[in-house]
Amino acid sequence: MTVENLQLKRRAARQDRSGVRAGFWCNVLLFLSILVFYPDSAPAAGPQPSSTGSKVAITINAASEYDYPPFCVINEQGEADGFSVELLRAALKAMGHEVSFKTGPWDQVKKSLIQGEVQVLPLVGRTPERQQFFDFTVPYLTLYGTIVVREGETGINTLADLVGRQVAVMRGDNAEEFVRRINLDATIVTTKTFEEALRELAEGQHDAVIIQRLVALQLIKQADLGHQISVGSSLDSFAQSFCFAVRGGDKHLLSLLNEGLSIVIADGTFRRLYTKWFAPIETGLKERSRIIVGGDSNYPPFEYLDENGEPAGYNVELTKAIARQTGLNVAFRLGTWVEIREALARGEIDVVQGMFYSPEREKSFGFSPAHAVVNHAVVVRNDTIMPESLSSLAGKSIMVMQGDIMHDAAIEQGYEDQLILVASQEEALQRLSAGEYDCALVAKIPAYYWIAQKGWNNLQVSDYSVRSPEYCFAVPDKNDWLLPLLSEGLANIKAAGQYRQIYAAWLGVYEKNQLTQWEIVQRFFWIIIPILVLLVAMILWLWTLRITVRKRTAELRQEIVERQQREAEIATKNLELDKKNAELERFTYSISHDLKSPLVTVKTFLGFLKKDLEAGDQEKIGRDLHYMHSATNKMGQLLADLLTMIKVGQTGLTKEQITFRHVVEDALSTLAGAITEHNVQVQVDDVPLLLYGERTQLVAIWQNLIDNAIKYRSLHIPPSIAIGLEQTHEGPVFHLRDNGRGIDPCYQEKIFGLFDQLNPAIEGSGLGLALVKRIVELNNGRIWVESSGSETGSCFKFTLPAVITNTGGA
Amino acid sequence: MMGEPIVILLAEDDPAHAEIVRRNLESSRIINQLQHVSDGQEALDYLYRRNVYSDPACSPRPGLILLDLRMPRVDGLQVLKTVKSDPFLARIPVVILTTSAAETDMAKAYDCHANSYLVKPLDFNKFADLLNLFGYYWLVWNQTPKQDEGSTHE
Repeated sequence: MTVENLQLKRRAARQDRSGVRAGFWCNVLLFLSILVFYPDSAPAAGPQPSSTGSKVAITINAASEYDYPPFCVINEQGEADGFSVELLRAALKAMGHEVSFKTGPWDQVKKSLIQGEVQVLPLVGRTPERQQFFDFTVPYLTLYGTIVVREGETGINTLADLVGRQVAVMRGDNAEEFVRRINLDATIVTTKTFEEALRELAEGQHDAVIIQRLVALQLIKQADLGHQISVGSSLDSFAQSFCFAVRGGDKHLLSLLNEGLSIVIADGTFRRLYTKWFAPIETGLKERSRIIVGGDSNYPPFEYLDENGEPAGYNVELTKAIARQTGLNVAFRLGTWVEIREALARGEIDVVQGMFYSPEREKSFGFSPAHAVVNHAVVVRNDTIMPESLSSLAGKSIMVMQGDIMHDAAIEQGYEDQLILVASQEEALQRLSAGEYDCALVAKIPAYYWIAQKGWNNLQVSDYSVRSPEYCFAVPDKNDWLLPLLSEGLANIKAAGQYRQIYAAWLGVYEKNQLTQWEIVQRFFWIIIPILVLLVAMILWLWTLRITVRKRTAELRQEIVERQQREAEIATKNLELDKKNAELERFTYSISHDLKSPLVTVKTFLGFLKKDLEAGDQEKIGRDLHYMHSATNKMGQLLADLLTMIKVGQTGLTKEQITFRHVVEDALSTLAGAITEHNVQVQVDDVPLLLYGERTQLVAIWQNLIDNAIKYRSLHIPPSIAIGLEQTHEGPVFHLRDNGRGIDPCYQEKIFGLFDQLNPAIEGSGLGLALVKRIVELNNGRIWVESSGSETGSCFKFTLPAVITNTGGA
Repeated sequence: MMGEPIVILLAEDDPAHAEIVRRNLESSRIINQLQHVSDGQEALDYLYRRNVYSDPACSPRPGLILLDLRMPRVDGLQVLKTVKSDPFLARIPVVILTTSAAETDMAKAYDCHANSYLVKPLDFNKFADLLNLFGYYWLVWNQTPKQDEGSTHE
């Protein structure tokens, strides 16, 4: 078996560990294999089902040879059988598909794939020539050639020993290609079949046959030549990788097979099939001979020689149990570790029952699944402070057993110069106890054993483990065939509960079970805590994010509301400004026009007057003077009103408290002349109301309204005016009602404009009502007129909130 | 001069100004008939023969309208708009005679198709010259199509 095979087996082997881990690794493997193989299937398109997700079971057609044991054979029912056939079936089943086989000789089988009659072949050796027609899966098995010689022949062990000899191979076989490729300096004889070659060898012809090792074993068994010829070791240079083959370009099926293959390798099916088909053949030859099992003679309680010199310990019991289970004939050979290791490398020992697994060691040996995990620790004297970890041993003198896994570990840490190599862990502990050197790196359980046994109570063992390597059976590469047997045996005794008994009997007393459980819990927490922390951090982050978003949203909303308010305010202000501007414009325009108008009259009539005086026209002179007089009056009135108007707009005027009655009386007194002249009836309601405001402004309101009422009095009935106050839902409303000419509804708005006179014939500047409106509005009030039109009288109404509120009401 | 007397409709709220116009036109010896109304509302009543002007004998169709801008109730501009948008009245020349020399007033007046815009001068002689020249120009030299008298009745 080679590296590839070993790796497959390591994978399979790892499965035998504790349930949790086995499941975990199984998943990891599955995941990895999908990762590795899946890209092949990516370009595949079309209606074919792809990968594990497919629900449609398809029957794949395959063709198998009938005469290539144990890979492809025909069983008693005439159906295809064998390792490769079963493996293909298992791989496709893992992907949810079925397979049907037709059988035939190799030529036919090969042709049927090339011609497309079938889709896949279970066993094809991968060669460059064949890659033109086929696509290959990853190799699932690598077989090695070997040299077969006559029993008793000792001079031929390697290819070099064949120089000058006669070597038989089957014509056209890989073996012939191989000997020609390496230019073997020997006489090459070709035979029709290997059986023929082997038979001739047994009969004394040729010196050796070069052949696939497994094929040889099988043929020797069939032909019962076991006593005349013997099979040598594998030739590393003569290797053949076997794969499933599909038609060139059938990427979809190829990736399906690769994935299926990785699944059956990972789930143990491969190992089971391998053991089923190959173990009997390999062991068949070895059954007669004993298997030499090596071990350390001084590594209690794992393996040691007891008082009687007999091998004892956990490993020994375990090996015996496995041997009973698998029917192996075993013999023990215990010695110093260095010696045993060298014997194993030389092949004098078939298997070592306890060796720590390491990737480096796997290059030289094949490892079974671990049958124990051995914790290693630092041991120091009680008077020394226990180092914190393996990495804090710099500068200390360290004892390790030569060739031990701790030896490797110490070198790895860079302590090579500080090491003192001893023959056994016992020696290390003994010398440490006696005061030599600073510390020892040993396996925990043996350390406890020795300390208890020898009473070295001045030693302390670290709680932590510096290494916890897996403890496995180890074989030299050539004995790979033993590994499936050992694995199978180990699995069986585990299932039978025997393993636990042995483990408890030898190691249980030294192990703190709680600790192991605690370790499991710890490991669990090491995985779960970072995930939890991450989760909590994510939740927190999301939470803060949400809060931030919510806050910002609220802020933005607030901002928008504020902005809208500001915009509304600005719009209102703008509207007011526009109104003010328009008013100002009208004001200046009106002044320029209305002041000019009487001036034109005066100047023009002065001209007429001069002419009329010259002509002595008395009547015209009187009229001229009348026009001029009116015009100057008008100008005077206009200027007075304008001054009032300007004054009204001024701020900072002194305000005072004044009764309503007082204000109205003031207004009436200034108009006393007109009232008497036109015999106006004035009635004022007795309202006990206190007003607060600028006196002249307040008086101006009523004065102008009364003046207006007198000017627009009816020409038919005696004028009367009623002044008062009424309470409404919008507060107190002042009113001034007359029985005059009334105002047409369409002019009721216009009369409050600047210089708007309804009747130009009536004296006045047209500023009176504009002035009233201005004062009312300055005091937050409004003014309007109610009149149904001609000769119906009118009623001016207005409010003065600022004036009222400041007094506290009536 | 010759021809039939042309009816001038004078819309002027200030009686003094109306007197000035009347006196000057009289002294210029141009045959005409001056009809005076004292605001825009009365001018429209006259043109459409409503209320006190319902008798066509009292309200002959004017050959020229002399219009002040600032008047109570309905102002001159409104009268101008009404006249110029009525096909039966639109061809009557409308001459604005006002104290306002404001650009906006002139622009608005011309926008509403006023035929001429005159500003009342602040001088007796100039006012007299203006009305004299106005009379010659608009009543003697200016020609307008002869309107079917009947068409204005409705």
